[in-house]
Amino acid sequence: MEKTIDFKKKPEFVERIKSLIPDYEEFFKCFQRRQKVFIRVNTLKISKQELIEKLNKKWDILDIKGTPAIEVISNLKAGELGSSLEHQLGYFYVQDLSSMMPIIALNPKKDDSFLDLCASPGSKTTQAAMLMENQGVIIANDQNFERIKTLNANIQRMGVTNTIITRMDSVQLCKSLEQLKISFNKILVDPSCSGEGTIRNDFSTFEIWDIKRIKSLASQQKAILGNALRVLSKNGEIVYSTCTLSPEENEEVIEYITKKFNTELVSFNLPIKSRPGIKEWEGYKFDFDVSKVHRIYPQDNDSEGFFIAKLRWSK
Amino acid sequence: MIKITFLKSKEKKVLLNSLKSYGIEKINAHFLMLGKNKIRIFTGNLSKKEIEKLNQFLRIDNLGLYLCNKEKGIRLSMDALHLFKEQINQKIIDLNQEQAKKFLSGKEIEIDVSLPQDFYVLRFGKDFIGMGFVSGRNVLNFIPRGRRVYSN
Repeated sequence: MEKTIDFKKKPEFVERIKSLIPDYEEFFKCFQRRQKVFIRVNTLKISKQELIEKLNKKWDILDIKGTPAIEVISNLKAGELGSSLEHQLGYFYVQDLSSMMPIIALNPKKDDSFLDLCASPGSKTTQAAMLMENQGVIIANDQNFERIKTLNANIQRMGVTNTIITRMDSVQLCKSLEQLKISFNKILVDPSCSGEGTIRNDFSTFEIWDIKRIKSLASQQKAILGNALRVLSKNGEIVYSTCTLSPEENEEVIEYITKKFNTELVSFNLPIKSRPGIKEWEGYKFDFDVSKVHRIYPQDNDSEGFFIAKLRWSK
Repeated sequence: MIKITFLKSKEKKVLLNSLKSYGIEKINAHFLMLGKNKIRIFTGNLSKKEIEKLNQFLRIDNLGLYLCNKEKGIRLSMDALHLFKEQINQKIIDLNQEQAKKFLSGKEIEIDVSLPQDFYVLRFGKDFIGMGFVSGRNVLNFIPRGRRVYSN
């Protein structure tokens, strides 16, 4: 029998979603259908066309043009993607479509220096390495020992050669890098979050959801993003992303940072449907241009939910 | 602090000579070791000095990609094979579907002809799927448990 989420268990969650999303009925409806399965081609090892030709022989697939994504339409057995030859050879990474967007927004290039502060399990690190063609340099950090093991394994499987993996508290790492006078022109801050955008795929996220946790995560996120600015070069860009929808972890973080530090939002386009940030939350009107940040709702692309913002030093 | 040992130029020369036997001529990277026999390559645009300085102040867990084990000859990792797929043109054994399936599941396989004892690159179709140590007609398997494919 298929598992379903009992939203009645958390009425506060339901109320918040209703206040947040105008078409909230569509949000709840999408939990009744299967989430799309996406993979990301690894062009460090194979071209998208070659991978499509290989996968076409075993599954029904759809090329999501303008992105590195391929949708797997076939009904797969549990573990079928991960145990396939093409996965083991590192030709693709199982990654949700919306989770590919932060790196598309950041757009790291060959000679860039890129810091991925909360890197495990490595989907975005390896996506960046792919765009950088294993050149430039990446520092990929995570604090958790178990998560670092997964990061190591994914970096190896994807054939990434330009990355240094560090295991440090991200705030401490930024302080150490600042002391060494090392800065980066591309930084990704994709910190731990309440994961509201992923509950369709991971019911346990819903089980542990609570408002106190959201507030506590938001203060950690502000600290990480604020400290990341210590090592952002003069003309550099920083992308802040979460896989959650809560304004406390998204617009509130951006407002706090843009007010406290001399930074500005940078406009960017995404190749999938997204919406602007929300203008107000619980009676408070945000004091920045919310049209420059992106919200991706699960019902819009049958993907996970995400929030993405890009910042730089004010000119 | 992790112990990073950069290969000395003599060691690098020996390694590059061994790789030439597979047709690999060009590698633009730092060669280093974090453990005893495992050689890694790093292509990030940092000098040896810069890496050493970072290692003094940061808690580095790993860097670059595991290239090969040099215990008994050079055994390239599955992922290193892909880095050099355009260059590898020697010491290749082409496997049929049955052999590839057996090899990918972690088992030893038998090939049709007897070859001199050495490490060989195994290929299935256009894909390099690993390296095996050939002794006569037997091919020893080194595919790590986590990378085995049990059905395809």
